[in-house]
Amino acid sequence: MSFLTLEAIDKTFPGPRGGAPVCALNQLSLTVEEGEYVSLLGRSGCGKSTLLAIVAGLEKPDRGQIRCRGQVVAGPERHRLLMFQDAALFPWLDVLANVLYGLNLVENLTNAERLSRAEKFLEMVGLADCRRFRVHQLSGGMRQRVALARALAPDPDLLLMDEPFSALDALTREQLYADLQRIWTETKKTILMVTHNVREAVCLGSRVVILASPGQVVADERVTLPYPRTLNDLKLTAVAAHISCFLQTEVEP
Amino acid sequence: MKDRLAAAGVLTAFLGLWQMVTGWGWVSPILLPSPLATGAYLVKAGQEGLWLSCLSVTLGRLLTGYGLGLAGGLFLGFLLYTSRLARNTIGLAALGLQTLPSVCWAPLAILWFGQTEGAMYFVVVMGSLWSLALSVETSIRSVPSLYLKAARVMGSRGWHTWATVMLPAALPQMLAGAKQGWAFAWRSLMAAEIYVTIIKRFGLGQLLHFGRELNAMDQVMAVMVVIIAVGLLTDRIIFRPLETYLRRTRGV
Repeated sequence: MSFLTLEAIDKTFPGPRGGAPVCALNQLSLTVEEGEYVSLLGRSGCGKSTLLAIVAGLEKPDRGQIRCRGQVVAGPERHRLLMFQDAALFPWLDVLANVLYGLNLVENLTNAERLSRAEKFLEMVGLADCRRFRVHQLSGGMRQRVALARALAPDPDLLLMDEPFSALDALTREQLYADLQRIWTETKKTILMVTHNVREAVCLGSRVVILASPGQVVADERVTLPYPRTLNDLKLTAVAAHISCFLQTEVEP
Repeated sequence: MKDRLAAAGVLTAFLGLWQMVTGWGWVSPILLPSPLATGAYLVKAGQEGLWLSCLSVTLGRLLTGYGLGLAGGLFLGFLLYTSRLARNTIGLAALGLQTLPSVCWAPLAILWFGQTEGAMYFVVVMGSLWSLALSVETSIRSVPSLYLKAARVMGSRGWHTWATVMLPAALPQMLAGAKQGWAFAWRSLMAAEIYVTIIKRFGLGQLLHFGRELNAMDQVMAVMVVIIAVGLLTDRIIFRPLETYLRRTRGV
């Protein structure tokens, strides 16, 4: 039994007034094993984000079934935590309180345990000294780090990331790639990440799944390069070039 | 400091001009009392304890009326947010009623409640409730859906989401609405006090009203000054610090 299984998922959205409905996912099936880091790659509008929202339970599929740890996904649940392109931190809370938000919803923890876990994850993302900062005092990269700590602290089974780095500058992004690889190897989390950046997909993912319109898996490759990977590694660049070429020649825009 | 000096200078010049116009007899003091006469009345009434008694009566009414309006506005605002039927009926009525000057309610209020405190509260509530309800609804509606999604994926539901996301996220806009509602309530109360006379409990509006009856324009002018001062002070003491606090913590 796989950790996460998606069976023949269909999803269409109502089209523009009077127009035909838009097909986002078409008989999509996918399985993910525990501990994998899957990069979902594809052009804009190919249904990647819809897929993630469905796995998170924020959207319901028209047909098909999703199982996580054998349980049918029926709605959002803290064991499948979604991170957004925007950090979506709460500006009325400080950094520590933001990280505590998800932890407060975990039962069977004492407040002392919650606090020490929040602090542990803030340290993991390198922001232990910023616990009393307000959200507006943080840079974009720091906000995304806090969002990562907030998502990891309740110890979800599955971490879903919807283009988490696309709003950041290149230097910050590379730093975060390194941090995320370290955190992933430390925590052994199963991660499903949507991106449209080929090198990012290859740099982070232990597996790259390519989606194409209308919402189908067209390629599924394992990336065997050893961690930690860097963006400018020649082998990594070669794999990325190969995938870029595939996207350009085989996948219709 | 320079700004304040300049402002004080302009203000002094204005008062000086006003004093000149009235003091040299260019305008009859019956039409326009001089600033000195107004000031003299302010001091005299203060020594008699008139401001203290009038203000305590008026502010008591204001707090009760505004409190009722605020509670009703919160309730109606939530109702408008959650029910489409309420939006299509009460919402539409609220939109119309908030443009109705509150003094229009005074005749009905006197008919229904007589010359009582209840009539005053009624005018104040009618004058502030609708704008408060509409602003509560808009504040909740403009909470970014991203915050709600983020809370939902972390396991927040129902009341927890309301208490930890909706309300804190809507707070700055609600405060702006509350401030506007306060101004409406204050104006409504003055209208009510001018129309509704309760001999035993004398408020600012009544003082102004009797100033008019006695043709004592220094009294009318002095009451106006006090009314304006109360408005300014409430802004500085209550609303401004709250706004500053929100702006500082959220960085907007």
